[in-house]
Amino acid sequence: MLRFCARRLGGSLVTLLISSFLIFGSLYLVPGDPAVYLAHGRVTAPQLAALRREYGLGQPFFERYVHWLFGLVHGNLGESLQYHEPAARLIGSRLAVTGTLVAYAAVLIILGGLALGLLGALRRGTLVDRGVLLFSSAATAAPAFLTVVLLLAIFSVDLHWFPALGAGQGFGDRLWHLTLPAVGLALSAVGLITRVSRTAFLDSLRREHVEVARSRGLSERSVIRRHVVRNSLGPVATMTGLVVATLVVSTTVVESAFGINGIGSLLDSSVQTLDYPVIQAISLLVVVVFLVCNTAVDLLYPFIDPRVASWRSRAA
Amino acid sequence: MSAAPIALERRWMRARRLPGLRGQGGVIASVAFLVVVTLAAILAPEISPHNPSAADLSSLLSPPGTPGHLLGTDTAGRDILSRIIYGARISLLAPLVLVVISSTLGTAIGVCAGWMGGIADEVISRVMDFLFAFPGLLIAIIAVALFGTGVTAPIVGLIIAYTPYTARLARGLVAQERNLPYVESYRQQGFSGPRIALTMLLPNIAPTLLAQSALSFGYGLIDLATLSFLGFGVQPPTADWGVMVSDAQQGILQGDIWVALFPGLAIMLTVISFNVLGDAIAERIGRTEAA
Repeated sequence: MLRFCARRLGGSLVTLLISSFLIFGSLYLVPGDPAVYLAHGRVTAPQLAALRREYGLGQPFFERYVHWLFGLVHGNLGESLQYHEPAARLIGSRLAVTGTLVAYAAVLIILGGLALGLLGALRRGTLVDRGVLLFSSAATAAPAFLTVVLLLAIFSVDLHWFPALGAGQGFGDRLWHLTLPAVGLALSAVGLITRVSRTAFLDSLRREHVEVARSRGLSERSVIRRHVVRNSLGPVATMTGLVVATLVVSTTVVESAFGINGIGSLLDSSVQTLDYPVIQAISLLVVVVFLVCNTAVDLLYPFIDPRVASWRSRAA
Repeated sequence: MSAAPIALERRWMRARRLPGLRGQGGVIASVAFLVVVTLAAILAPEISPHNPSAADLSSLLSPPGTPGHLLGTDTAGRDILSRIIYGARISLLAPLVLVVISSTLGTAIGVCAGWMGGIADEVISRVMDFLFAFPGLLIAIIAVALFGTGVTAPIVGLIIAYTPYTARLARGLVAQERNLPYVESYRQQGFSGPRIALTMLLPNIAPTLLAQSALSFGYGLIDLATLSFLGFGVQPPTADWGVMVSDAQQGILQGDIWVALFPGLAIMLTVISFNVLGDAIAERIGRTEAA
């Protein structure tokens, strides 16, 4: 187990290192002088020279990268050219809102996907099942921006059930404010997880051990809970792990539409103002989220599904 | 880093099928819809009732069914039906370019990795695995930041993001296929490795890759429309389905939902049609089920 963890962690660190190199290097793909690109008409000639010095644009590429990497290790993600503030602070002050939003959406995805998947699998072939499948294909095909705009039109503007703007104060108010954005963020992934979990449940339902459990006289309820649901959580967990990092990027759409001041809207405005250091910092954050989610799922997998069990065999 | 093991991916692919829409009727409806949309895109100047950018200031936000404006008009008084018809051009062409390039590239890379095996396979697989850490939308956004808004940068970014998926699929298929007896028998007959791979093996796995491409088209359409919605892709006033939903946001605040609904439906129906088509191809081969 320890060996597996160490391996997994090592692999993640290597991925992170390569990612950081690519994210750093991407700046030099820009046509023309990187300093002029970074300045983006914001600064005068002497300031441009200062910018060049600050980014060490006179030094060799690799030296610059190592310098930047050392900064990262010390928590220095660069300085925003737009706000003249450290990117780390900009991100840090927005992390709570976006974190809550993504977590809220993830809960909706897992609960909604599992519930609908189970419903479809248990009522296989019936009208209910067809409804579940129809919902799932429509939801998967619905872009987040469309869902968000329609939710706004129906539940905020028309029915006044939910606020149209902002993230709210305090826990309850925040949840209330973030409900529509979270649904918009989650919907297409709910469709995907519904289909994944429905197939997994059907797979399990067909297994002999379920028949055996039934013939032993266990109640249907406990058969479903202990032998069907438990067996099917593996693929659902893996898919969810893959989806969550994508959610962080998708907040760009959702937060802009709802006027939420989070990571997504920061990314949006950073692209519009060509604030590249902030874009780099957010990109790193997304990669970290992806790695953390996937590592977490892999480490938890044996608890979710003890049959796959031994860490050694999965590591091999 | 092994993001998702191949075995799981297969289960996932199986799971992504749409049994509810899978009957012949669904397939026929999907093909018919795609033919109509494609024809509309090609024949846009002939069939569209109005100029897509002509603003009729006397009828802003007129509801669907208004005489002369079947689907109504948007916040600038432009005919929504005409904009959807013209919008089909860029909205379909951009994902087509994306899918053709990324599928070709991915197949080439995957076939090389799967056929050669060994160190080449190891290196290619590692690089592909690593690219999965970057969501497609993020790569596209970075590309926009570096190379400017427009339709090119998002396509380039998404090609980088989509290629690994095709490559991993192709690699897995080739790795399975190359151990089958027919490959060995061609070898015995003296055919060269590349010739077997390209002329005998590739046609056998092509339908599966085609099915994957149909699914990718749907995802590509959504991602590109998302970038246009954000203002990073196709620029207004060009008619594009993503841009139309973005333009509609002002109308939404006045409670006019159809301005966003119709272009949104165009996107969703196209994506669903491609998904049904991809699933139908995959089922026809019956390969993913057996594997």
